[in-house]
Amino acid sequence: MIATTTSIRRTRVEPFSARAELQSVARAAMAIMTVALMYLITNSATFRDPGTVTANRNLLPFQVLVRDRPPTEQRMFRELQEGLLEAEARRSMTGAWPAVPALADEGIPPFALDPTARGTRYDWSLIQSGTVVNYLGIPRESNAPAWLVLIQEPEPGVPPDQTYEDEEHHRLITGVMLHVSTWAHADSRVATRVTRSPQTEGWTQFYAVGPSAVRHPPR
Amino acid sequence: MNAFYTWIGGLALQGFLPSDFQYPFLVRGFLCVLIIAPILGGMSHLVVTRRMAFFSAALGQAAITGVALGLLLGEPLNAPYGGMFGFCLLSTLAMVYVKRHATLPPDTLIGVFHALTLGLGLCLLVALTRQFNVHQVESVLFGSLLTVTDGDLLLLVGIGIFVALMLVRKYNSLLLDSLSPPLARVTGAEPAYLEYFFALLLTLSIVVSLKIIGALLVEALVVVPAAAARNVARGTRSYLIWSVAVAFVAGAGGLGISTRFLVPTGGAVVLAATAMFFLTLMARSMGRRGPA
Repeated sequence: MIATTTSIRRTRVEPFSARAELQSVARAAMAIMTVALMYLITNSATFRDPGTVTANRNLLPFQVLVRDRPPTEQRMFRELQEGLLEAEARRSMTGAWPAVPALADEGIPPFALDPTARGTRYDWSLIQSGTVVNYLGIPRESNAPAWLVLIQEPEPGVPPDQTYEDEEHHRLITGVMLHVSTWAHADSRVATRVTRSPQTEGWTQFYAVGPSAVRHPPR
Repeated sequence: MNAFYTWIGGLALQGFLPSDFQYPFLVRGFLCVLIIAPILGGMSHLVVTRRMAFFSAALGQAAITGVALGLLLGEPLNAPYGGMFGFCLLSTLAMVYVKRHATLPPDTLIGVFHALTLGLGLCLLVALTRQFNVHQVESVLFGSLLTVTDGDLLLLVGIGIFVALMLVRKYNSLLLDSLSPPLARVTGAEPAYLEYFFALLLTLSIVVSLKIIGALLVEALVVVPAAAARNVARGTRSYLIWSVAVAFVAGAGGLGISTRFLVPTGGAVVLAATAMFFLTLMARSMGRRGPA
């Protein structure tokens, strides 16, 4: 029989002092609050001069303000807003979205040919699938952007939309609320089919004043 | 970064990469997945071992409240970090402290915090929708690759490196403490310190992943990979490796599904992870049946 000697290490385990723990937690909380407050002071609109706060701060990566874009794009955006209002008026009266030739015949920009315009010419088409309506403009020159007006009509049978009107929400005189947005794609080789979610296909959304500029009154 | 995106886009257009990579947001998303998967996957087996799954869920809800708070205090929509990190880290400290000192079961206490942050978050959200376009807020709260900026990516890289370094440094102590706190204490580790330490690291990882996966689903990615890994792992090391692998495959697969079928990224990632859980469960049951 072989005898072995084992050295036993004895360790005294003491519970962590509740007071020390509370002090450590309080110190950590103070540090976190200080850093968060510093971030708020340097980045929050609340703590800054309103004049220095730009509208761009509330844009998502695929959104831009039209005022930051080149003049040709600003002009096209304005024309599309005008064309959209005309199309909405016809939609209210007839119940159907007007075809591009009908808008062009009435001289509504940008669908009508403007002989004085020096920019790229576009081939416009109306594409509709269910409640989604697209007015898609593909340039005849490859170095110009493609343009898209996306209109989302309410699904049939849904209760009336109570959203307040703003840049993205247009109410027809019939009471129907439309969700509208304007997009451009730097690469003009876009597919001629209905687009439901342009941001996932590389389109950039254009805003006149930004998505958060409209302050809704309390309901 | 634009030059990098253009280069990747060029490769996609030439057919060397899937055509979806021509879009910068997808390249950013893929880079995010490359970073998030090892972090969350690496932490997930410790989360499961330490029984912190419900804690992670409560943190996800706290993050919603944090974002709402930050936005109401005037933070930019693209970077509501002050409110999000501040509120979540403070909630974590409070949850761990109360859990350690109260006599109620931990899940009951976390349930109380969960309810508190959710209630507060809902009240703040109502105020938020009066100031912000609801569609803008939605994509930030519920996660979307399209809202991820280069700034988010940089923050993710920074926090990813920090969390990885801290985990590597304390991994053995954390694992031992997860399995046997008295034994960890005998080796010189302080379980109280480790509890706070791990909870704060988990909070950082969850909060930084929020914009990509979304507040409601981020906790799934810290639980499901470990659950799937447990089905097939044969030891601690393979448990860790499998957790990371499952998280990565789920992340990349979910990203592909999300882009292809236009469904939210977070939902697609979690569905992919869950599918892997059931696949590993089947593999396990077949493996058991095989030798017999």
